[in-house]
Amino acid sequence: MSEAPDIQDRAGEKYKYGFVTDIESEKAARGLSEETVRFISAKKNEPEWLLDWRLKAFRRWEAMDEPAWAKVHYPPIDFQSAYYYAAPKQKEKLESLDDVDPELLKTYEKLGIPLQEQKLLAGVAVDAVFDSVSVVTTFKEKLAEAGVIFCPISEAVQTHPELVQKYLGSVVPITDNFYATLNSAVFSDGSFVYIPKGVKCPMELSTYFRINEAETGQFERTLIIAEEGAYVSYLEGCTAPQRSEHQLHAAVVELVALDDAEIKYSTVQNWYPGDETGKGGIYNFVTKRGACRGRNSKISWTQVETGSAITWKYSSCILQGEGSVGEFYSIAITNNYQQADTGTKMLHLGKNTSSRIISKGISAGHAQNTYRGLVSMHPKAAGARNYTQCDSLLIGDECGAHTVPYIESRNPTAMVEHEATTSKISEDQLFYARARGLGEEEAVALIVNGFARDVLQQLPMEFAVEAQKLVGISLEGSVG
Amino acid sequence: MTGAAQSWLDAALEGPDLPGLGKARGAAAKAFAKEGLPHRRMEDWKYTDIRSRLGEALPPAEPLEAPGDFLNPFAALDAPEICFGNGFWAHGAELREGVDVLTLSEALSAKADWVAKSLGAAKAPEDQPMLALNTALMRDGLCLKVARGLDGGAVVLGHEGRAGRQTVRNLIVLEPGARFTLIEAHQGGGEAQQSQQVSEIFVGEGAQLTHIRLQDAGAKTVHLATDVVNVAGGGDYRGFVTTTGAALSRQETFIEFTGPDAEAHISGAYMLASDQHADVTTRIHHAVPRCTSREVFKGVIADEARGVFQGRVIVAEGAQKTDGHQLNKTLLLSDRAEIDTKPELEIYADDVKCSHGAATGQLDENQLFYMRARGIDEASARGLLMQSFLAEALEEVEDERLRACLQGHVNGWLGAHAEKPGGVPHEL
Repeated sequence: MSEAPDIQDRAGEKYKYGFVTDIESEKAARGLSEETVRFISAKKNEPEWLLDWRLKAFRRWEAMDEPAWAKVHYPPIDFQSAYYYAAPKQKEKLESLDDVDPELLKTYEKLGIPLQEQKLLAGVAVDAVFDSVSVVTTFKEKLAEAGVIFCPISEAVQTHPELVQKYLGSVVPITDNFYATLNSAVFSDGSFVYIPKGVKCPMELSTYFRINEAETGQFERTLIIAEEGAYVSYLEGCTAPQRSEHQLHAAVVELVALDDAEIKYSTVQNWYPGDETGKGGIYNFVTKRGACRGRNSKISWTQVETGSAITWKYSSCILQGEGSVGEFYSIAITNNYQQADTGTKMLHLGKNTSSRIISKGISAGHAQNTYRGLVSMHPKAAGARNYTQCDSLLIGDECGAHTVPYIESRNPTAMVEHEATTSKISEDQLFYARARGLGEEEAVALIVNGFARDVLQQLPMEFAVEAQKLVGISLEGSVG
Repeated sequence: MTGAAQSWLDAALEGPDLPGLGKARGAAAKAFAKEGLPHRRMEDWKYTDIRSRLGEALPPAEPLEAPGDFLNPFAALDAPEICFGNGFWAHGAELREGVDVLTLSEALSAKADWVAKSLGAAKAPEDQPMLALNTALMRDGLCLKVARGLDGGAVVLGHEGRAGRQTVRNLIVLEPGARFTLIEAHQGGGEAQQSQQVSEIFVGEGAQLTHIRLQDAGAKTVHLATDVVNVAGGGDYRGFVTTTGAALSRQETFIEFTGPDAEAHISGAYMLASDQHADVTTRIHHAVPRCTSREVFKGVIADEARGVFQGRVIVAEGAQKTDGHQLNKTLLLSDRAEIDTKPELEIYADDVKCSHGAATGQLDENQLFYMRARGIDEASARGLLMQSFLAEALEEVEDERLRACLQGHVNGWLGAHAEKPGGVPHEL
């Protein structure tokens, strides 16, 4: 163990700050019942059809069992002891960066986050110089010019009900799985994106800029539709440690790509992972799925998962349109007592569809890191192709790395190739880096970044630089 | 519970008499009764729906008076032959001195020490209902021990099945430093049969066992085989499984390293046609350091047949310097054929080298074209390409004469199936 205290511990301490934000909120009664669902829907002034949709999901959920097949272990969740609705909160505004926990600032610095952004992240009231409102306004004007709709989904329900009604639940049906069904019943808010025919979205969209109340709550719901020939790149999350008042997060993301459309969805997930003894931390149970409905459409998932105590997430593609393409690039880093069971599903339904899966898992401390993926070639997927590469890296002898791919082929002309390897950081590489004057942790960060390069390269520029640093920070305290 | 599942429960609870097995049978029947027949919601049985495919338990088979139909595919080896008919000992040749051979019922009646010590003692994965069922129902089997340091030669163990439910339990013990080659050949007639075979295999310290299996059971047979292999320190197990027979088959190989510096190679070839369903499931448990495992499985699947390959490699905490490699490749010859592959790595130690590869596809059109352009007719070209595809697996069999026997069987299958273009769609 090196002399320097673990940055993640420090970041962890910071979360205490996150928990003291004590703001008046209008909460629904504790627990989950039909009443809660009606309450949420009424609060949001939702139309009848959406209330019915939520209720249908709720009734279905009541009859469902929690999934137990993933390689993650946690004490049973008491779904009746949680609150399912709290009115959007104003974050407590601090006077200046001086009021922010210095350790958190150090983390920001290490990530190379600009000063103004740091203020935004730490919840400091932004001054007139950095006019976030005006930034957002210019941003919105540009999008409106292009005809792009980008707003909270609760707003879209009011302003574009026909689009929401048409696509909501069309990729992840309310019957899908325990957590997606729960989300359908009680979803709080999230993003809605609509890119009209032939439009290339003029800028990268980011949750970051959806602004106003950044708190979307624990049941986030995102819906992105790319019409014929449209293109959008969407960034979710950020590299800075994220705090949350909820232990359970069950988000649903649905993507729809029509003919020749392309959606690139990038995630950096850095929720509170719990402390070094495995106490606390977020349970992140997410359902993400994209439907390539149109010919030659493309959906690309890129994820960097470093946070959460437990991650349960399989970003999938339904490749229905002829010639459609699905991609999944993932880095999952687990340290201390984190557990991740994550991967993808590529369902090849249409002719000449292709998919590519690159997964890099890194496990350190006492963590367990599982890649679980399905490649399914249906009888009509003539000429379909898949290539999968799953690599795992182990740091320390008390962690685990697991690979569980499922390959199902029912078409002789479909070709599937899968490769997986598991190893540790080579002593030679470490020695080489150390001999050139790098500290042990720097050397590990360098090697791991090299290991994960294929995925990091897929990230949009804005994310890539910070994500590289995040890789290093996530592993601090794991060697020596 | 459906009639079929219930019939197996009833059968398990009414296991036949074998001396000294009362307690073990009772416990096994109880263990089986917990879940009954495996079902698709059990992860290990996800792709083989045995509950619906197995059907009701058939009446127990009777010993064959004269099991003369067994055709030894390994005759060229001149190895001594032991033959089972309908799951009962029929006849056996003398083996080398120092190789003890007993039937299961003989061994239990005579209370042979080494059998009492080892039977049911092999380390296997927990909660295996089919292992419990075998213990509850076993009627006969081969108990074989090769003495310390001895090269016991080879034996061909023939199984000829005619009808009914056959439950066999074998026990193979290689004492430290021993060497042996066990060659199993399973054949049978066209009557409905259910055959379940469990072999407990102990490879002692520094011992080496070559274990070949050629499963060519009858067309209406359900064939379930489980090899539970424990390899002690420095031991070496070389398994090879050829699957062409049975309507529904599942070959399970569970390998447990019980001492360091041991090796296990388990490979095979499966060739399936009509509506056959064949499942190859392996689980290699690296419980101790410095062991090596290697798997190469290749298959060709025609018509409406379905293949399943599940290969799991577990490296336990502390099992450092583990080397594990696995490969599974399948050719689909028809647009109704199916392959489901699940190679799985579960690793709890860091200083390891583990990898797996899997691929599915069809014959390469370019290669076919190349051969056709050189005057080779389509059927021969297809046959040659499949032969070379399967060669990668067969090459894992080191003994040339043994490999030649297996190659003969493979070529026979290819000869019968390669000519059919197999309905490969040309709509691309």
